[in-house]
Amino acid sequence: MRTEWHVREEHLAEYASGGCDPVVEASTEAHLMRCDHCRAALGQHLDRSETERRWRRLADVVDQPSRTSTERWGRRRTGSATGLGVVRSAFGTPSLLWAGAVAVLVAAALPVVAASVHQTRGLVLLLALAPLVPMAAVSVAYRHASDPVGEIVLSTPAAGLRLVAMRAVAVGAAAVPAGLLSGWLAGLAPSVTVAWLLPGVALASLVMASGTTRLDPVTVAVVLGLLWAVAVGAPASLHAAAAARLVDLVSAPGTQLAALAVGGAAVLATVARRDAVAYRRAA
Amino acid sequence: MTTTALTASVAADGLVKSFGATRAVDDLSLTLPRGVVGLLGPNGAGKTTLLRMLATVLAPDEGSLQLLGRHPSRPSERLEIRRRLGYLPQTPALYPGFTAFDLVDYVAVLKEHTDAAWRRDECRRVLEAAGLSDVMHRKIRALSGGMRQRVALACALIGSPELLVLDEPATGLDPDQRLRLRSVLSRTAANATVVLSTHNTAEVAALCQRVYVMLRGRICFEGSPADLAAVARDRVWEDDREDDRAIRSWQTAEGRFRHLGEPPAHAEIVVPTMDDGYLLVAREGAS
Repeated sequence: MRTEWHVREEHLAEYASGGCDPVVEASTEAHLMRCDHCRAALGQHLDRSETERRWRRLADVVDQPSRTSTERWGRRRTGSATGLGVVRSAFGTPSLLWAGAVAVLVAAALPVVAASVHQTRGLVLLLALAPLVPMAAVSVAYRHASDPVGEIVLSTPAAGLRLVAMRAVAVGAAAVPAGLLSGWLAGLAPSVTVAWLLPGVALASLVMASGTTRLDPVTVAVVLGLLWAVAVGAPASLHAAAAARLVDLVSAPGTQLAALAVGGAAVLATVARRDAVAYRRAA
Repeated sequence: MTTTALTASVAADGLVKSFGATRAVDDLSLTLPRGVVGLLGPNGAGKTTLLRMLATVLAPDEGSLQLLGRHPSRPSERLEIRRRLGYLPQTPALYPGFTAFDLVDYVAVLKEHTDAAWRRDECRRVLEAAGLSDVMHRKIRALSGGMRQRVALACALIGSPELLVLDEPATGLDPDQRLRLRSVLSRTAANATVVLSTHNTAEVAALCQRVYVMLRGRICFEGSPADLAAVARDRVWEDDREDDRAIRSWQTAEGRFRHLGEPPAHAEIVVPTMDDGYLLVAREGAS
């Protein structure tokens, strides 16, 4: 568009350097919007490198990866590249976020249900199902399909036990305190409230260890979960006396120590065979 | 292992990979130099399994494998390979809730690029190379199949990898996008080895310096695209009728019959294409 007058050179120079009077600046800006000649003239007053730097800064702001609020929260707690990757995958995608939310919900609900159902059978329900929560978290963490880029993640330097373990912790971390707090609030005996924890750790560690073999961790989790739930739940569903004995048995220090030993051994085996997670033999 | 194998980007010797009773890769040996290498073969020939081993996603059951002069079976060397590797799987499952830029940035993080400013520049570079500058801030769910494929390609290009493993990269791309892909891969191959699998012989003819035909887990042909076409030299003829002597026959768009095999006397021999060569190699390899 043509106009009859043009901005004076000294005003263009002031405008380009950012030292313009506000009134002149507004007038110049309005004129530049419709005058090709003055826009071209302005280019001569601009430092090319400075212009590029400003555009670059603008592009950096625009191209900043978007983050959800949960992701931002999680990101503050990690510094390393792998940690950032875990945060982006665990807090940025619904698959792992949902898994975490479900884990928290189940772990928190079970003690409440246990307290509201007939006393002993309710406790058996808690001891039969609560240990499955950490185990499920580990099996979800192993599934590369849960990753935002699927199989691509397996060819990156970050792939391996550390990534799987961090995701499992990200999914299961909130569930354990939620379960313990819920049990305490529901008024369960402290010995029963914590009794599911070590069996849960043992089962989760076994699933973690299965990932270092050709076995599918999800299949292992389903089989182990069924075995545990049936072994604890079935006898108790038949006889009330058996239910009481089972609660005592699972809460007993001997059982807890055995679970700790199984969990510890499985963790040691996983660490010893960690390379199998990073370089898989199974499809 | 020979001196050539030691200097090659990929050197495999006696590779075996089984899934249950099925041998997906069976005593396979090859050496791949720099440049674009094409892998042809029917479905189930073992191409994807081989590429997954080259991408360090799967470990071979038997045999020796060297990538970029390193052994992926050794953890520290595998880490070094992965830092210099790009991989596009056959069916890249990309999370639809991320934008293209976020997804590429995420892969850059997994590739241990910790400098945020460098990562942003690199993301822009690979997205531009993949022709996605205009849609980089759109969610994956809003992109077409071809665009998603190019996002996955952009992920593979991060950090200018020296070994690029691409499983059917042209799937879902229109002719324009295929042309762009060729240009991107040709540029990348100047300083890298690009291994791609495809069913499209025209793609191989346009891109690849070397072509390998895989059948039942083994390499049954190795040479240039011209060598593959030459396999069918004097073994392709056209006729107005079907011919029982041919080992493969089909009707062309012009309504004539094209035959492969040992031609009869006075047959109208025609110039063979890569398709003819591939079909003969696949047929003879299967029998």
